[in-house]
Amino acid sequence: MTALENKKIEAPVKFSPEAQQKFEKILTQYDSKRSSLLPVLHLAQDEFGYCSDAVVEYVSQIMELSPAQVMEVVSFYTMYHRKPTGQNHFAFCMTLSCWMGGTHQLYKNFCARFGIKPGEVTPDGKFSVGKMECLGSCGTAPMLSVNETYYESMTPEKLNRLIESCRKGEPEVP
Amino acid sequence: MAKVKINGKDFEVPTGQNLVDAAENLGIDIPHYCYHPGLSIAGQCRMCYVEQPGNSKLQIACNMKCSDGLEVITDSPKVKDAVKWSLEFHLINHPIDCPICDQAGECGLQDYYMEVGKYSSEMREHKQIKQKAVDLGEKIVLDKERCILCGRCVRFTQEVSKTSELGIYNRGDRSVIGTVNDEVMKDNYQVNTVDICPVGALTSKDFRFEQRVWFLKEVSSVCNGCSAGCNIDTHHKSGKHIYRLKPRYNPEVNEYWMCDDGRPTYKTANYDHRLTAAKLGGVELPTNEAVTTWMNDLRTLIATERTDEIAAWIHPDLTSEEITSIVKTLRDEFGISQFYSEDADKSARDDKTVDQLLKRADLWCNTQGFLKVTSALKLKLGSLNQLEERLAQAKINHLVIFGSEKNVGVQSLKRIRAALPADCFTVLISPRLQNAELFSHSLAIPSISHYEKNGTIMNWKKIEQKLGSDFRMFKSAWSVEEILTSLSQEYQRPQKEVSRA
Amino acid sequence: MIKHTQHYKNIRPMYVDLTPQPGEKRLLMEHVQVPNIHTLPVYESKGGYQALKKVLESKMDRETLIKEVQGSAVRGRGGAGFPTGNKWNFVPKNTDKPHYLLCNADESEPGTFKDRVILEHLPHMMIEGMIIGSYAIQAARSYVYIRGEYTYATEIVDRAIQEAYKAGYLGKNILGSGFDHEMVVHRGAGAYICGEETGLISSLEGKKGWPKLKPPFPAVEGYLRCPTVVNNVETLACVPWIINHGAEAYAKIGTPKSTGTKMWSVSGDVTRPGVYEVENGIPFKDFLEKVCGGMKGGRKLKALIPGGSSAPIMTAEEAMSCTLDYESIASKGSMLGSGGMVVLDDSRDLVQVLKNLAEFYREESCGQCTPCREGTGWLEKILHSFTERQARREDLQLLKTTSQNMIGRTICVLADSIAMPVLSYLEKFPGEFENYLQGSSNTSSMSGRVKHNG
Repeated sequence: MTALENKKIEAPVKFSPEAQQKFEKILTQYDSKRSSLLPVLHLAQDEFGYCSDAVVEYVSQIMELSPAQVMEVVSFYTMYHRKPTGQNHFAFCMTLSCWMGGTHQLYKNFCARFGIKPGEVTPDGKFSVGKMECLGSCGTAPMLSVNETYYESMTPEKLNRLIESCRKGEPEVP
Repeated sequence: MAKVKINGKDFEVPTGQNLVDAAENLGIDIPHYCYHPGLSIAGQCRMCYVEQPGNSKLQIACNMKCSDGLEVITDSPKVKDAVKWSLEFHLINHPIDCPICDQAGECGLQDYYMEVGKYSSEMREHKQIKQKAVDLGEKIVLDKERCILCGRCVRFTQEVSKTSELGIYNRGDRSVIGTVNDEVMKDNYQVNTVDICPVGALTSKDFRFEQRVWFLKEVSSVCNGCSAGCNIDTHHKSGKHIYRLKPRYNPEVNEYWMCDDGRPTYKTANYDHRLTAAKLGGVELPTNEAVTTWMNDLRTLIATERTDEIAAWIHPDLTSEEITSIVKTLRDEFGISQFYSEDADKSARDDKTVDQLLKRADLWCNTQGFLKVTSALKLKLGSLNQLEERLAQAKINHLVIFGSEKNVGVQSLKRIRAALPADCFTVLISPRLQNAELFSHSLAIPSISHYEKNGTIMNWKKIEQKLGSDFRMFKSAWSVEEILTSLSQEYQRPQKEVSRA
Repeated sequence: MIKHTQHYKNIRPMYVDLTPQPGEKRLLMEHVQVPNIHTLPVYESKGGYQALKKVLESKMDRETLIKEVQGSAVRGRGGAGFPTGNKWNFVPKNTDKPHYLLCNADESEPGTFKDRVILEHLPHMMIEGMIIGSYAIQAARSYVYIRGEYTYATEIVDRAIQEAYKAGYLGKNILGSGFDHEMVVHRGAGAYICGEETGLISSLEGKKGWPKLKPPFPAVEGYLRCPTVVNNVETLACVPWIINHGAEAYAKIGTPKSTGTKMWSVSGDVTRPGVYEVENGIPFKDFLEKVCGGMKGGRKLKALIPGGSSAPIMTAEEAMSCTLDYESIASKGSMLGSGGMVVLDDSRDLVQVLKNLAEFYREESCGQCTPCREGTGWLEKILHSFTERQARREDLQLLKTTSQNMIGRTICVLADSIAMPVLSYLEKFPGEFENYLQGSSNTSSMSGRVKHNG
């Protein structure tokens, strides 16, 4: 497919009034407009769910940058998702102390159970999975993060309980 | 000037000059990929290592400016080893596409590999797989695997053409260059990225798979696309076919770049567009016979003092030498007094930059030269309207048309053709086949195209620049000066009286 | 668009026991267990902001202040160990460009989680240090660059900054000194390379976290091409103590070249993983036994990674004979680094460990310069072939030469951070690699534990 045929036309997006206010406040905190790109992308991702093409286009307009400059940043940092994630995004830490504590096994079991890989979402939209590098919680290894909340000192049993609670829509308190 | 020491020898170089440039001017080659004098410094490729006495860590030359007392070594074993390994790192994921890659023969990796390559690679693992042959629009094809991520193209679109269409996405060895979602590029300077790409990652669609570069010769000339007068090199094969134009450095005119609209201007020089033989009423004849035929009609009118029935049409793409030759022969020698041309004054008045960069609105390449020469020679010029009037009044019996090879002159020629009476003897001197077809009933003499000319043109800033050529594509196509000299010689030859046909 | 389930982003700090252990010497963590020490009133009640008052109310001369910090010989606690006072001194005194102080809270080094304790429990100590540091280098604005994944810590630091504004410790004319200062929390977005000084600056400028060429150095041309100083969280948290008790008192603690205390984040095969603060120079043996509770399950120590995964590995003998300070660890061929200690017992397969580290560095390499971008990928692929038992004998030499040709050849030291450990593993534990070459009967599980057949 040529680039033109492959391009899905997405509806343009716009900040809600609350988000717009937050955006304007962020701009005042820096001495250059471009410096606020990372916080603005966090805001956009919280607002729109993930950094789709339409979001990248919108952010490039309000930040007065080219889409390529915004996309460079989005593709570089792991926290900006280019594809939608599930309602509960399970991100397993795969480095050193956590890996020694057994997260690799937890991750593999999770993937096998739901039949998904990083970048995919379960059909009911509830779960997606990701591999992360060191999350800064090595003393409580093994650990993982669900929607940016840390769940530390995990065991297979604790993980199963957590999954069940997420499935019911009321995730466990870490 | 600063006193520096390179490889033990003392040199004097301009203070503040980049060390890579300074060394190159002195004939010392420091290998580099990401450094380009027209772009900001990146320091990414790590090829330009030099050793500084007293510093155990190797430094990169592109981040050093010449100053008094600078001392570097570029050819020590330590430096050579470092460059060898840097090249090895470049090659471990590079696809061996040389047999099908346009860049072969002018490839940065190939060039340095012959000098400092490891020759026996130890890379046994699978290479990174990325997209190949990505269509970036009408002009460029991108191969993401071949890319060595020097970042020159990205910096170009950010700093020079200011469209910022290209970026480097992802991290580490998954990094790729490209547009957002592989969209087509809209930049009008995008083919410059093909020039500066050291490898075959960005290739020009126009040149893709057309020719191997080791068969090409270069000759310096000037683009005829507009009044900017960007300096270029014509790349041709044995003088038979021109394959591409590449910009040449000129700090006052175009720096290192040229716009994309100027690049296809060589096409009008190639066979498909050319009048390759003189024609009379559609029938081919040798050029010297065509000149004789022309002279026969001219002679009659000169002899009977009817030179006021002769007119000539010229245009601002002619070089200053061509215009001088036309005036000296037709006006001074033969007494022709009616000269008409495109409105060069208007072109000069309306000329302005189109994109804040190089391209200009005036599509004639020698407007300023035309005005200067015609004014110096006190040539009185009439307008197209006046010519049409005179033609309609049947006051012109012999018309000499110098036709440009470009599209910009076609409108005027069409108008002249429409106003031309059937019995007016017309001589068309042009390289362009389409012009000859337009005037199919007349005498058409093939002249050389712009990129075969040697001469002078003047750009919008009134900078005089020399066109250069070392080839002629067709034996039958002569330069305007040669045609007129031959005409003059023919005039001076003793003749029997010949009645007008 | 799928809406995320509401999770408890800002519910609680790291679930680790911070009870003081025998052998600890707590200068920073003295009050870490006091309830609500992360709030301003409690922090002030324990002597907080006295140092700031001392500096600003007396309008202390900036030269004097910097000399005081230089006199304490405190070194950067983020990993590089560069004397902080000297770094502050590099900032030019008379420029018309604005100056910036950036706090490096992008803690991403594997094995390191000590800054998290300061961010979650002692944010005001860091803020106080930042205001003092900003005063010293004449910075009107400072940023706390905190890693994006630390959502709870971000909330805590943000609240602390708002409290500081309300109390007049930030804003205009702080404590009547005429010094204005603004402080902003800037969230990162998940990139290890943004913990590198110039990578952080690039990221703060709204670009990818690509490190910059040095020269020019950040102290002269950094953020937005203005003089910038980047300091680690722990380093800045040391400043109030130094001002309160004096440089001499600080320099008396620890060893002459490694003054003061260090917070160590310990993980791996120990009984009590956690964060501990000890005086520089104590023997590792005592640290392991007294502070960390000894090896887990009574197993034997096999190897030690002292300062985060970038530190070359130490054998058990080297570890047991060293003291916890910069020189002693350096003399064993390793480095103190960030203080992220990972302890490995005799059940760990070091080739698997090294491969895991190589995966980390390959993932985190920014891709800007060729030796690192290609080299990290190559090393990971070679180590993968080791763990898949596809490696040849020549690959041992190849690992060595590849690593040697990555060191010192790049813009930043990420390449060194994988190359030096690889060289150290090859040098100190050659037998581990031999196991994979000879097709030994030992098999390894995914967690790097060696399962012995029979």
